[in-house]
Amino acid sequence: MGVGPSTKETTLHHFRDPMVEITRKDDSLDFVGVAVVGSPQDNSEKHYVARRIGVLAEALGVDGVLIYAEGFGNQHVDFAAHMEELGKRGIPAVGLTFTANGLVVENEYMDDVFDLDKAGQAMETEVVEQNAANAVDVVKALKVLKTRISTKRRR
Amino acid sequence: MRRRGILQWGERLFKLTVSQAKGVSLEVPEKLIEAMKKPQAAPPVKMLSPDKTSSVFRVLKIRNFQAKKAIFGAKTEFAADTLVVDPQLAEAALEVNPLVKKIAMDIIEPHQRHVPTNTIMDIMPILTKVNGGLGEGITNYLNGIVVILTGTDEKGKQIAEFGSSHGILDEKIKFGMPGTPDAKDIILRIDVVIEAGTGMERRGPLAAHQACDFILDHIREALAGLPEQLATSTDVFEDVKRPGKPRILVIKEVGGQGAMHEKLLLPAEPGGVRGARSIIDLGNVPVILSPNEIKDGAIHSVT
Repeated sequence: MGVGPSTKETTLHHFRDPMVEITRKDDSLDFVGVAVVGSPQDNSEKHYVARRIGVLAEALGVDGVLIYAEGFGNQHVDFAAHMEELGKRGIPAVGLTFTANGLVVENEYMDDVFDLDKAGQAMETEVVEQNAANAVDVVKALKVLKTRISTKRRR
Repeated sequence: MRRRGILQWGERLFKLTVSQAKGVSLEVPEKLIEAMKKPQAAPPVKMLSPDKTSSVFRVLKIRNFQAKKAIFGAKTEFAADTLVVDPQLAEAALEVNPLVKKIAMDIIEPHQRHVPTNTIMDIMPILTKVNGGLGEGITNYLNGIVVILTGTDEKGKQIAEFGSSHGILDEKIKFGMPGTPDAKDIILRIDVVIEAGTGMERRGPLAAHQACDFILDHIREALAGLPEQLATSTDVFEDVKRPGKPRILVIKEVGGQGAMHEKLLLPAEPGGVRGARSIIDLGNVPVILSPNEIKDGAIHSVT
């Protein structure tokens, strides 16, 4: 599996990415930046980059992460590994991805994953951006992330 | 020596403490006395707690120019709400990469979207830097027109890996999404034919994107020279630090496996190809981009 028309993000999408636009406008948050990470072919490489994500989030001292994965299938191996690396370090992470018929890999740190399936077909529809993240998805995800952060701070 | 109420904050004291002295003589240069009379600058205010207010550290201004019409003409330019594109550019772009065999351009008005299309490789905005690097300074943005890159190889095979979006254009695009044209947008379609069999290698699709970028570079050049007064509005974007607030990182996991699972980062022109580095060549490791850099087209999608 991979990145198909309905789950891919076009250049135009990156230009007006709701994940960035909405997060930056929220003045109750200190938005440190966007980490772009590739999804390699090899499994060992997937875990290599996932560990970098964990160490990066740790070094930046972030309180929460909003994470998105493009495509589905083997891309979710990395996605799960990213969330595990963050979760192990006690950093709340909320995920956005097209889960299709369920994720191929899951772990205990993946309670907050939003499915981007908008067509309701749980498969690649071959219609460009049909199952892409939009503003509604991001608002929902940010709300959950804020709850997770405040819960953690109260403890 | 100190008299309360007369000395003000910041005034220096001349102190002399003598204990059981029999004969003390004190000589002070007159200059020093004069210097002591001069008022002192107020000392910097010390904060008891760190500054909790936000601070802007990078500003990007995007000037919006509205295109209401697009036509083909002798010279690529933008004048009187109309984008004119030189059709010769399609031929000139063949020189960019020998893998590119044929290029066709057409303009699709909003009501003409029910037309056949090859697989949609990318959808791009037209932006150009006026000054500053990506993420800061001034960028000109041509509103109302989006570019769609489509393509096949010489044998007619669609340049697509995991699902192809060829078919009827308005059935194959979900309009109104963040990455697709809005209802009123004019579409400039660039259809590229690449060498047979190269569609599944990185170099094939990249060649198509390069040729498209070459054409857009000419439009960008025309856009960059527009006077500020012609802009319909200017949006200001700020990279801000908000100390004390919950720190949030956004992670975007993108394709990095090869042909059509690839992103190009930090091109020379917003949303362009030239000058960018592939996330694959960067080893797929995380690269941090600021929100302003993202807004200024730091990611070109080859996916």
